[in-house]
Amino acid sequence: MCLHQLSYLFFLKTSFRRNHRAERQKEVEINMKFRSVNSLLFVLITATVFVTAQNPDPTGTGNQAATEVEKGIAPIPVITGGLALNSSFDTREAALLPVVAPIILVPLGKHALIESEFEAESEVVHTEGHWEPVTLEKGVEYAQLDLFLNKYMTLVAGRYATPFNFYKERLDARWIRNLSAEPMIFGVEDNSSNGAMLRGAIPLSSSTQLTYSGFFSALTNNLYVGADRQTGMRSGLFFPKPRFEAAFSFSRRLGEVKFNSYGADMTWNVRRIPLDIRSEALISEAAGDGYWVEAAYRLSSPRFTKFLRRSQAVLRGEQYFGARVALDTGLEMPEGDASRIFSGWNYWITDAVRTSVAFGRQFGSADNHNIWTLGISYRFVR
Amino acid sequence: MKTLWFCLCSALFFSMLSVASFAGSPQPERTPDGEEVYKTNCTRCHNTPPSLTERQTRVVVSHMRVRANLTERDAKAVMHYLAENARGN
Repeated sequence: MCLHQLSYLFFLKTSFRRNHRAERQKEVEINMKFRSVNSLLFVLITATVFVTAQNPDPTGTGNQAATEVEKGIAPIPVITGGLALNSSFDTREAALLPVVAPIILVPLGKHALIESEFEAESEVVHTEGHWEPVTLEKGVEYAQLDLFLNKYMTLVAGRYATPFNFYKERLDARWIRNLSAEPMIFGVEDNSSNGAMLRGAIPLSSSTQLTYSGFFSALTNNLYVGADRQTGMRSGLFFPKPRFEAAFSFSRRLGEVKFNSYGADMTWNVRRIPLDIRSEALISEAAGDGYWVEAAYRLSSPRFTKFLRRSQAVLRGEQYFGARVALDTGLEMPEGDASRIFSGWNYWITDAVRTSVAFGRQFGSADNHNIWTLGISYRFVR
Repeated sequence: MKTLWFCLCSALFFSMLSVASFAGSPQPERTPDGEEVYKTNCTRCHNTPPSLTERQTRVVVSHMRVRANLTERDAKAVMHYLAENARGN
């Protein structure tokens, strides 16, 4: 081999090493940047919350009456929750779904609270001319310790509902949700996490509030309190005057299967008329993409009859597009692309007892079919 | 796509945090009206709760403070409003 060839090989080798080193350096730089951004975010959130929390009541008036209420009476443990009996019928099967979900709240002084919800749901299915074996799903939705660190921040430790979008945290209870069928993208939100979470709200002005939640969850392989290793956050802006909130969520699964999910949600409770508009969107390579939009109109106007004044009309449209990357996420998502439209009617027999009926049509990649749901829910406080 | 989302989320988050940082300076605040805070926050998701005692009210409001991301001030205003309408202790 001549000297010329040797020098050429040496040149190739050094340039490869240089390139490789440069790539690695770039990777390290990106990682460092990512970590710096994360650290900066954490420092900013903490600093912001603590700075705002230090501000005394600027008016100096406080809420005298509220303080009196707070001083006067000691809180006691409370048992609350809901019971529901829902049924759904489509061309293939009929299902009966009784659910019981008691919630226990135990106050620990002024600055801490233990709260826990247990849920048991049974499924009785009749399909292809015979009854399937009855199944009973039970689990702890949350069992958490809340520490009120200051006016604007709460530390949550234990098992908690994962704050990704808002359906799981706010509308999942059977006596709250407007339609008994969950949105199709609920599969990605329908989980609880085991770990810690910081959350709260910061008033930015008299007309704007920043809401935030950041969490980390550890892997737990247990039938009743299982959880994935994941981290994420939800943050949004709430405008009290028009009662409008918009937020975005992020979560990253950190287990054997790693993937990101991005969410966006909005709620608008129109003040002038009793109309609630809610929507959520999901973007995830591994879990699929989708969205739902729901409008609920309470016919509370005095010009309506008594029956109508206790009624609510609901309309929901939604679409789901299957995962772009085939990964075993363990999530219960629809098979393939699907679109669905639901219209429903809710009637409150009393403030605590509600009946509901809904009709929907699903357009799927496999088939199109109708869905009827009928249900009754009851909530209690003891 | 991922990068775009990450950039968008970061930009939104940073902008909100910047605004939040400036919000640290004292501003004229009004004592919140409990009924107004209740209507603004609680009835966004559910209708009137069943009649509660004052003792129950304190616990339920603490629970909702976490769930609905209420500030301490708003939670106290709601507590006062509900306590006024409570059925004894």
